[in-house]
Amino acid sequence: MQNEACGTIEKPKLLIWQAMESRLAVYLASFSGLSVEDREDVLQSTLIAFWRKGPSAEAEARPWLYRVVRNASIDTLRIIKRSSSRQGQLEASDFRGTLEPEDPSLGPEDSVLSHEEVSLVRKFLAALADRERELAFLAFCEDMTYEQIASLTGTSLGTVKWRLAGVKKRLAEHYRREMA
Amino acid sequence: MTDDKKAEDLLRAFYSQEVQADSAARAARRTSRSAVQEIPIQRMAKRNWQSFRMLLAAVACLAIMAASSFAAGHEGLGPEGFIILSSELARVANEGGLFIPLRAVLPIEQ
Repeated sequence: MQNEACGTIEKPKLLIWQAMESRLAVYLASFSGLSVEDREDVLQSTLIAFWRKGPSAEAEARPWLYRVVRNASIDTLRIIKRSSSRQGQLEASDFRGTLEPEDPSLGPEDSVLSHEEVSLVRKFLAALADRERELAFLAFCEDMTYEQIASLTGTSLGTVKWRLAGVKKRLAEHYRREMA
Repeated sequence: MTDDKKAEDLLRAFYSQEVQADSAARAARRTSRSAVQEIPIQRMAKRNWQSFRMLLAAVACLAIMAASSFAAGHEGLGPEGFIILSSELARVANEGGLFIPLRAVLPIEQ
């Protein structure tokens, strides 16, 4: 889909998209109610929107893409909630998809964390609320400032700081307990 | 190392690995898709290009024949010549498979 959709996409936008696609995919895994297919649909609709009316400058494109992905995810979750037939699936889903087992193509030299550490972090993230997972991703994967995160998620600055401090504290405790 | 720093490092390393894994998986999917879809398209394009060149060569030959006939004071191709020209071109095009795309869009004859 990407190749077809990008058939006539401007080169700066294409480069931005190539750099952001996987990051957005991992961000989407913060929304536990979305299935792998839902996430891919959101990604594709974001690509189309970006292609049609997204900014070409990288500095503007990054927050724009996160905002569009976030809004599309929330819309999709609303639709899923309305559909009672999806409830069974939702309950069974967890923090998985892009965060499923590591890609076997990655060799040991690519791995910074040990296998135990990866599964520990994965388990920890799976137990978090969607909102906390989202904040953790934006802070530690995207390196957004507290202000940027607050603006993107529509949360107060104090709440962002407080929630992230809580996530770090609990992860450290979880790590000490599990690795002891 | 403080607890906060340790937790931050764990999360950064984890997300970095996840992004890399997703990127590698997408690249692999793209490669396998192109291997399946693009090679037959390239083959087909090459084959059509060969038939197209055959057709061009046939048109060029017949045009030269018509021009030389006309230049020699004859009537050029004439009605019969046009019929022969058309049927020859149609034969070359049909053998080259150039009518196949047309058949897809033209209505089926009753």
